[in-house]
Amino acid sequence: MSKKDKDIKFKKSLKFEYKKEEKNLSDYNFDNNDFLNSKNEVHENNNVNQSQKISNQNIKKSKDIDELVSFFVPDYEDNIAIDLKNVNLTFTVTNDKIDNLKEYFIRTIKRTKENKKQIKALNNVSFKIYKGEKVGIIGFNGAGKSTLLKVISGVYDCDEGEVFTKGNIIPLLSLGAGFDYNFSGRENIFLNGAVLGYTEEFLKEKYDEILEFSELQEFIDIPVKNYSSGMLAKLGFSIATVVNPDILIIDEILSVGDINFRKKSTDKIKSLMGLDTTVLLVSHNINQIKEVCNKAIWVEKGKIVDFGEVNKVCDAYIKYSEKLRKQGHN
Amino acid sequence: MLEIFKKGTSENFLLKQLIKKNFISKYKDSIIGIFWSFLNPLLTMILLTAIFSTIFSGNINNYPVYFLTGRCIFDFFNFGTKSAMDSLKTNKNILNKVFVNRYIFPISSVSSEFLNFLISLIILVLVMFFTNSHFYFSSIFVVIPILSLVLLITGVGLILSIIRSYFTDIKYLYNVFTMLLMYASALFYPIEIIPVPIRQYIELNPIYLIIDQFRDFLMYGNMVGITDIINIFLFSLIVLIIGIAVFKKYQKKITLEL
Repeated sequence: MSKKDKDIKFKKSLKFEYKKEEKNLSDYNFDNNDFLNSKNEVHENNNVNQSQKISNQNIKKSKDIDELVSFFVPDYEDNIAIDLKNVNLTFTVTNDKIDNLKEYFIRTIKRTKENKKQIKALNNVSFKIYKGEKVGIIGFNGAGKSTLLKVISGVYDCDEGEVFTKGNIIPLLSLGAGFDYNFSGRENIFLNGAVLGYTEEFLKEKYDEILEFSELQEFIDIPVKNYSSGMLAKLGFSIATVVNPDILIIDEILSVGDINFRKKSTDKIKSLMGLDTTVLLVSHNINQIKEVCNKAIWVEKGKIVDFGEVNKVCDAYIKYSEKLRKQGHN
Repeated sequence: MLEIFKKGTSENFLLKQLIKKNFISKYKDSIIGIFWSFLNPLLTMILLTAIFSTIFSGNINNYPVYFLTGRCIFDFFNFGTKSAMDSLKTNKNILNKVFVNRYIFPISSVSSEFLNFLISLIILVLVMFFTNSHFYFSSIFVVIPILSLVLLITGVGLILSIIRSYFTDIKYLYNVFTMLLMYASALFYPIEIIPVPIRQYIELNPIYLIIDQFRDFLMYGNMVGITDIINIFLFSLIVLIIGIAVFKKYQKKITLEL
């Protein structure tokens, strides 16, 4: 399904819910103040003023104010960058996976089918992220942070629920996905660029910029199997960051290459995190998250424990982890 | 889904890049490169002509062309479906990291094998030229069985690529299947040598039917009955539709399985 389709589908579902909402507005409770950051609150309040004229009483009881507001202001939903609704994802893990037909038949006859274990990687996750917000994702190893990013970037499809994203996503999860080691650097720029969803004209236009940023001018025509790992990372980084993304997804701040390139790449990422860019950052470095982000999501065992202002969430997370550590000692 | 054939879109660009990659990696590190795709069928043709052309001279007047037509069609089916089958698995490092429309991989495999097929048609024409075959006007109708073949291969390839992600050994099973299919497709023998009660089952083989139509148009200048053409075309179309349906249904979970 293309992104356009997703968009349309989302809009449809919104409208549909509106119709429902008109009928029984009074059933809802107004309880998602936490979800709005200051910028959006201003926006919110303006719209509330408008809508107050129409239904002063009902608005306070509305469960999901965004849907109501976008009913009165047509462009409002443009402000939502990422919207997850009740997203569930289950991994099936087996200790003896049947991956061939022979075993499948034999074990079916012998009635010793694999004992499957379902792991809920994401359990009823819902949140909204607005355009321009910088959101840090924290949690212990295996909590589901990377899975969450993969669901948002579309690599995994969720079992249930809806994932809506708006604008182009640049996932800096892995650099140089799909590099062919027999191809030259030049050919790999086009191959990797195509994988990342660039068009041919765009790449031709930006080719010099990529080459210049990667600092690989002398090596660009030799096969990348002869590159060092640092050079590969530099090339991958330069290709991935040549666009201005609407949504930037980062799994730990990347620092690649030698000391000069490291500085350059950090600057580049900072420049990509412009005002309008929505950033999702996974990191175990709490200070870094506090520095970069204004909101944070705390994920634990596939569930969202807390979502809100960055310092509040991070402090709660640190407290919790210290508590766990003490319990471990006792 | 048709977006990938539209010029200028990123999907179309990715398709082109993947075809290029498939094509180059097939012949990488080989000195004579693309000529391998000429050499293999040519050598087999020479050997089989030496062995069989006198035995079958009653039924087949131009044995080299007879064999090569069958061989080109069958190779396209064989390599096309097999590379489509492996396409998701070999590109799993892309699929697991970036969002890409997944059907692009099987389709790019079929497309690059189609290019190979077109190259092998060049040898076929050359061999026809050197054996003084007659070129008929009706030969241009060979595009109809070729179109059916492309639809069939895409459909089968889509289904196999999904099965391959769940069961590794479908690969070996499918190898056995294609070998049997080859012997049942009348590549190097005339269909008349098969006794009648069995022959009607061989004639259910869609690959044989496509080869037969291809030969009728190209070698004998016959017009094939319109019902035969429509039958095989509809069959291929149905396989393609089933393939798309299966792929759509199971592709969601594919990144978790790879």
